[in-house]
Amino acid sequence: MGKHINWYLVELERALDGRMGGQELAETLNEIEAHLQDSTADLAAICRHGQDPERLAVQQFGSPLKLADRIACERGTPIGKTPLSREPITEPMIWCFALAVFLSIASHPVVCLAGAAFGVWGFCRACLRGYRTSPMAFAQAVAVAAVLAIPILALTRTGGGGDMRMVVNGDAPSIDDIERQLATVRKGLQVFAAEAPPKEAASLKSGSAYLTPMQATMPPGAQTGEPLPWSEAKKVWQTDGWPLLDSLQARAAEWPRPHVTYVSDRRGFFDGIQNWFGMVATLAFFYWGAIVLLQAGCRKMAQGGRLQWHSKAI
Amino acid sequence: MAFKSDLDAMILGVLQGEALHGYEIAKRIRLASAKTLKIGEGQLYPALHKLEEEGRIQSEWVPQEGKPARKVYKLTKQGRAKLAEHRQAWEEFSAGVGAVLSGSQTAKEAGRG
Repeated sequence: MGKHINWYLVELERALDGRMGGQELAETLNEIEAHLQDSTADLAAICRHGQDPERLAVQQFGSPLKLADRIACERGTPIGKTPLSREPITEPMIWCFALAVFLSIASHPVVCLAGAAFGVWGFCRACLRGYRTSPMAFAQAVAVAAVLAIPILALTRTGGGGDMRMVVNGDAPSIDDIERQLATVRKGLQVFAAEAPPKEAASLKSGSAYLTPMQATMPPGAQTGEPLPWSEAKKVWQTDGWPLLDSLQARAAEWPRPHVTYVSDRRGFFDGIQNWFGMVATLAFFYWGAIVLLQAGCRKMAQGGRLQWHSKAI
Repeated sequence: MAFKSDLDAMILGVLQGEALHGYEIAKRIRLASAKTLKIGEGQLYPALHKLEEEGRIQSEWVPQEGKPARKVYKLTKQGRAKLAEHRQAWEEFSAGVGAVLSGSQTAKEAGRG
């Protein structure tokens, strides 16, 4: 079987998949394969030099998508059963939705920008080119790698569903200001790590803030996400001999006023669910994008004759 | 009566003599019409499947030596009856159109009236 017939059968199989039973599909494909081979053989006898009889045979046979629609229509298969990925509008729609979901939950600027750039690129590509395959296989491979990497990066950057942000508050004149600053992080969220001068931090209200040095020297309890009171954290540092403790104490002594530099907050129960739902939705839609691209790659391979459609035994 | 379902009629027409596979049906239609009728080959299979579902033709897989088996279609009793209907409809239709185009007496009288 030549590459054009092979391509035609792969396309037809994809278009008919799910719209008729496996046995019927195999029979239909075998029947059409035999037709195309006969047609190729006949055309080979009358073709002019330079013409490809197999290509002509496939052209004469017509579009595989139209044929699939007609077969499905004759069989009374509802139009709505067309696979979603065949609808031209689906891909821009999916890209827009994935972009919106991604932007709504990604808080890290690099992740956010990467998601935005990828989403805009995907949307433009989908609008300009429909769902046809990109001519550049390398670009496709990069795009697939990106769609796989971005959600993973987003998950690792946000600590598995948490939300992190920097709060520089070097001008805060008092502990009250720090409290107020912490309160603005996000309503309903529990603050579990902050940096402040130890002396001042000890007087922060219990339960509203838990203090550690910067993330690099967080005590083990805080690193695992468990809130750790300042007194506990101090004990851990002293017994385990955290390497930066001395320098931090020296720095703290030099701080002129209360100073919050880093706040990591954790969402409440429902926020967590919402966050995880957003993550799962993003993953689903980005992986869906990856699947679309991989399918496009497969179609391209089929056109190149590398993907073989095998005759099925009847 | 207008002549409808022309592809169905042509398929039934070429199958009246013998059982044929899809490609041969397309070829026979082309040759029998002295190449004036050339059907889109892709259109043939949906029509064949529909006719089979309606019980006007039936198919069977015929093994071939050194080649994959082929699906061969043959006319059923219902198919023959339908073909007779199509033939009659066509004769009426072509007679009507022929009369108009040749400017027959009846048409002239109708024109005067």
